Amino acid sequence: MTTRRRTTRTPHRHSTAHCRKILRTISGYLDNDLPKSMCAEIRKHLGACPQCERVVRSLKRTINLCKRADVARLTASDKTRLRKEILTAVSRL
Amino acid sequence: MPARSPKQPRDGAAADAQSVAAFDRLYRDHVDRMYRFAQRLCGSPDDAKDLVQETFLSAYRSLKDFRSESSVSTWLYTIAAHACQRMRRKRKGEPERELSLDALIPTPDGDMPLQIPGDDLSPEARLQYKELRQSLFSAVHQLPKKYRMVLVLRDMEGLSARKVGAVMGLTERAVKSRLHRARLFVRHELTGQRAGEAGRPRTIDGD
Repeated sequence: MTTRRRTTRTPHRHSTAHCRKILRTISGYLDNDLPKSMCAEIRKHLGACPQCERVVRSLKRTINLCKRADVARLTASDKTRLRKEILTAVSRL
Repeated sequence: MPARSPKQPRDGAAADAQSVAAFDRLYRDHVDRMYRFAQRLCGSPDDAKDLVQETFLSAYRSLKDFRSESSVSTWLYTIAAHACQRMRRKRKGEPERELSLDALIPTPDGDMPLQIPGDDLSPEARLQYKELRQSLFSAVHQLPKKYRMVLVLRDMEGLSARKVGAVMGLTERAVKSRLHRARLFVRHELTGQRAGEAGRPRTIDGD
């Protein structure tokens, strides 16, 4: 006869220290740079902690904003002028 | 009098022409990328042009020494990063400061408004997005330079942490540590700035 082991689920306890520990590693988590076990722990924490979930979401969006943030291009005349200035400087060496 | 071999350069003119041709190829293929990088790093278009000029001038000088162990773009990023440091030293900017991770990690119990827009922007939100982009560049330029360089190379230019390390002469671990601080700093600046705009509730969260 097998005895079924009783599992007791402890509710997630939101603790500042644990949250700070999670948030210290969150860039690695977002970059898929952490071991699977750590990712699972973080996912579990985020599922139970709305505050950390919000921080992570806004950090993810900050990164996305950086990735999409475009800047003005160099005009054709600026390219030509810069090239000329570089070659002039080279000829003086 | 012996005849000159056709392959022999005449007083270096042929060699110069070859160098200029090689430089032109390099310049044509990479000037846009380097200008984009320089703008993200320097902020102002004039400073960015100075940096591009300095970068390609250095590249021209060391073109013959380039070994294909690294990609051309990584080589140019490295030259630009060094040129940027030289230019800053000349200007004697403010001393480098460290970003404390403890100070940047938000307190979980505090209010953390989520005000950075998602991907689904409505037309009117595009204007706000434009403002947000300005705020982003302002936040990035408040970063101490060693953090800014990592953020720009990794999150804006899209280099791997390993390549960023190669460009900056850092270990991958050091790159990741600086990157995390830089991201948290920018996030903090963006959310803080938004939260400070009284009377302008944001509805562009996309959540």
